[in-house]
Amino acid sequence: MLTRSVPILITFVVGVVLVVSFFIPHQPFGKLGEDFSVFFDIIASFAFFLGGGNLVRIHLETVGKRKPGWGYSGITLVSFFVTLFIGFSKIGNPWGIQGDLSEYGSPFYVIYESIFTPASATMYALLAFYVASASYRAFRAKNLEATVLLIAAFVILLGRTFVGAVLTAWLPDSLAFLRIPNLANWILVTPNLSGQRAIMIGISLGIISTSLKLILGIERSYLGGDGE
Amino acid sequence: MSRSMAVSLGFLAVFAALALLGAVFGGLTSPLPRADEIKLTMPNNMVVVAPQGKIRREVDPATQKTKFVAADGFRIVREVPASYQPAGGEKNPCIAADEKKPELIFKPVRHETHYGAVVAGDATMEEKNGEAYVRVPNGGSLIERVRSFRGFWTWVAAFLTLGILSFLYDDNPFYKFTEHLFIGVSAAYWMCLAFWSTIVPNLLGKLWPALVASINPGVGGEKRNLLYLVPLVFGVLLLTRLTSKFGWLSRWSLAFIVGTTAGLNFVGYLQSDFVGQIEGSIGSLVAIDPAKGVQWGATFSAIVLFVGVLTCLVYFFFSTEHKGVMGAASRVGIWVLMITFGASFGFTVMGRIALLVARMEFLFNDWLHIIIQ
Amino acid sequence: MAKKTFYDRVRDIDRRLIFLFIALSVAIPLIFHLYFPETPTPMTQAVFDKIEHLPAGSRILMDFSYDPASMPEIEPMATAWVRHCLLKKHKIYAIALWPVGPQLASDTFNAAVNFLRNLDPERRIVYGEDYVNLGFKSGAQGVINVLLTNLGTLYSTDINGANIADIPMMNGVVNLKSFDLIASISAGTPGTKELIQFGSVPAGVPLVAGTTSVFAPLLYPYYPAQMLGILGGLKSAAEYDALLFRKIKPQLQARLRLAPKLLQDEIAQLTGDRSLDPAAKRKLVAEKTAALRAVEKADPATLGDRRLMDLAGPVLGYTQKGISRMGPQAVAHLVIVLFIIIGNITYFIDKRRGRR
Repeated sequence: MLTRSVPILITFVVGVVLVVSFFIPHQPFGKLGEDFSVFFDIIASFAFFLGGGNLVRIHLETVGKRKPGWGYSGITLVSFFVTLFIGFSKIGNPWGIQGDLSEYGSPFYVIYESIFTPASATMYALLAFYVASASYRAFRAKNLEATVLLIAAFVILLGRTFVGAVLTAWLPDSLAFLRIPNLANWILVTPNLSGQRAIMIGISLGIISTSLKLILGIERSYLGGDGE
Repeated sequence: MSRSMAVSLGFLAVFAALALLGAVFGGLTSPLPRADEIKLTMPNNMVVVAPQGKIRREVDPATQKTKFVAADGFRIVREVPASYQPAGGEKNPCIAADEKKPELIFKPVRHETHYGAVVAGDATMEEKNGEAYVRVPNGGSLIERVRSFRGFWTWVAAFLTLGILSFLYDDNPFYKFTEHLFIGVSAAYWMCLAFWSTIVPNLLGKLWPALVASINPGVGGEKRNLLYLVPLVFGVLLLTRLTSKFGWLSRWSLAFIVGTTAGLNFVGYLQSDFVGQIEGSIGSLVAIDPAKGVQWGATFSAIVLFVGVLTCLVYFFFSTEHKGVMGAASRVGIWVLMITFGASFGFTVMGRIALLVARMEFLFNDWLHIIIQ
Repeated sequence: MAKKTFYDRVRDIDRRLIFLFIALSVAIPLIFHLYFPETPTPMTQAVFDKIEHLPAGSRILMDFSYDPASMPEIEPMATAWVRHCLLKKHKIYAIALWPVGPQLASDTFNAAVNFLRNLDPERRIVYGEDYVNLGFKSGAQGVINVLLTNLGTLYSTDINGANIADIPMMNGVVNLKSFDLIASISAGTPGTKELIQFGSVPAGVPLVAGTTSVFAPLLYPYYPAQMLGILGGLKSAAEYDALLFRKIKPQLQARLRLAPKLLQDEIAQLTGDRSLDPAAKRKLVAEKTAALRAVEKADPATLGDRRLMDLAGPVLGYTQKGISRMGPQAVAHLVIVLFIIIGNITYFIDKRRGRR
């Protein structure tokens, strides 16, 4: 009962209160809905600790058992604990413990600007190269549908830059709608919008039905297996 | 020589070559701060006061201690205790400034006027034992240390950037080092932010307001609210997921999270993504301007929009076979979806290239200074 | 083994060569500072007009939900929006649904306020009266749901620890309905979509969005009923920069006319400062002197837009990262399109030869 029934009951109560609070914003549902939302925000913060704890557990195991790559796990653990210590204690913060966590000039801000930011941004910047390489190797006009996709991609790629404007600037005003930048804008607000809208309607139906199943306890996969 | 070693040496060679390029064609990042980069920071016990004219100095009759009182709804965040003695036995600058001038002069800190912050005239820099310090005049003096880190840490950032880019050639120890460093730093970074931004003010501040007020004065004055034991308990239960014996308790917290998300999403998606989208699709198919008559361009677009949504939805309907009219409609739907995906692809490429441009900008401008104006 | 022909080499090109081409296509335009004029699209114009036509003093809730990884696209539009709102004397209330958001918001405010002070030294822009940074709260939909009812339940202090009751511009702000516009700057989830679903639509407050290129197409279905307009990626940021430049051009010209005096004062101050590192001081003085010479030679009133932008940078701290980054972007796009065309040519040739 404790492992299955209580969680299902919690999901039901919380879900129903939040749905009802939308339609009946007065007491007690309005206040309950607001409180549950605040509690959710706080519990969501604990999820960050869960993530960090899990990371430490996995890498400690790697280091402890001297698995391949244990040295790099050691780097992860050292950087994790050093950052954690600096962040929790606000050591070196010009305002001390009362200061903003990322106060300019604090060691935490230095870590953010000199380690976190460049590493994070460069990880995503790598994708530019892979997109180009994948486009060269895989993007083929093999059939009509693929050709339509290719042409739309070309129009967007060229239309969103100065190149597109230059390529079709010679077209007279009566045919201005055929200029690449105008075509790109039209593609975005008409066929792209309709396709995305249809996808959105489909996804929303799925989410609505799944949410209902979760609230009513029909969908229980989030509870995991039967074993404790 | 192993491949990994060869790639590592290659990385070091590229790093050195770029640094040489910067030395020759640009100027390498100076280790000392530029005049316009000086960000003045105040030590913990410096007075932080409201803007000019909003503060006055009083002496508390009971303790005979100097205190500053804010007017017009402003609030003093910190005070200098009367016993404060700056280095070298110099006078407390704020009291000195107050004696010489009845109003405290306002000065920007960090290129902004910090709310409830700052006070002094123009500062001058001086050097002591290799460190840069700022001297504040106005009759008194306060030595503040200028925190400058641009030089060394810019090189660290450049090293990490190139370390990650080295993966494009091949996996190598420098990439692995950077990757693992980033993983550890980012996990701890998010934990610290969650702790100080949500758990301290919104949880601990409700349960132990006096304790939190000593750290965060802005939270002070709230009454204890024992209802917040609920999220505290659920939060701690969530952490039991790390254990094997008590991990089942985390299901209660997960149930709360799932219930909240399901409840909010049910209404949110129904209203905005379902009803809202259908409402947006149903409109006039003929665009008429009262003065100019039928607008053929807008009419064509409206028809394409409506037909596009309808045919895409027909394509997604798999309960009947796509034959006849259904088949034709779903075919049109596929073409519309292809245009949609083509647009998404184009935008994705744009986004990724923009990220690369910014990284290159950092390397060539902030690190090597070789952008030609 | 038969010797590889040039065609074979092109068809089977090592991907690292493709990487090199892409890197060069970005680096070379960047080093030579190549960029192009931008023509605003109707969508960007709609967003600009919304902020432009709001009455002065309007309350704008600005959500900074992005991280350093998405800064290249988002930062230029965030900077342009903050500048525009402060120019129009709107009040900006910054929140963040991503943890790093408040820091990025602070940096954006600092840069924008610094520039506006250079542009108009008489104008007083005060934190707590013109803009406030309320910080990050975790919980996505939960946060927005609380904002919908009572903002003070969650946001008891700003990021500096000041109680919101003591912040002048928080007077009268109760919940989302207290705002005149929601400006959502986001790089994904949670962000604009959640603000539309759980905030803007239930509260009936209009919303404009600024997002990354990857996310933008997914938000178009909300246009125009649930979202007044969207800035999608670097291109839109550059267009907004161009619109804002048009608006402040007279002020820039007027301020630049005074630039020689300002620069001369700065050079004198730098020269007399014995505490600076000599090499750094030489470099700074040289930069300022070059800017002074450029300004003395030119009459701001007769300069072209590009020259004006280039001059305003070192003198007034005027950055237009959106426009300056579009140059390498355009070249890189062209290179990718060429690669795709070459790839398809090799495909069709091989198909004709019967290899595939």
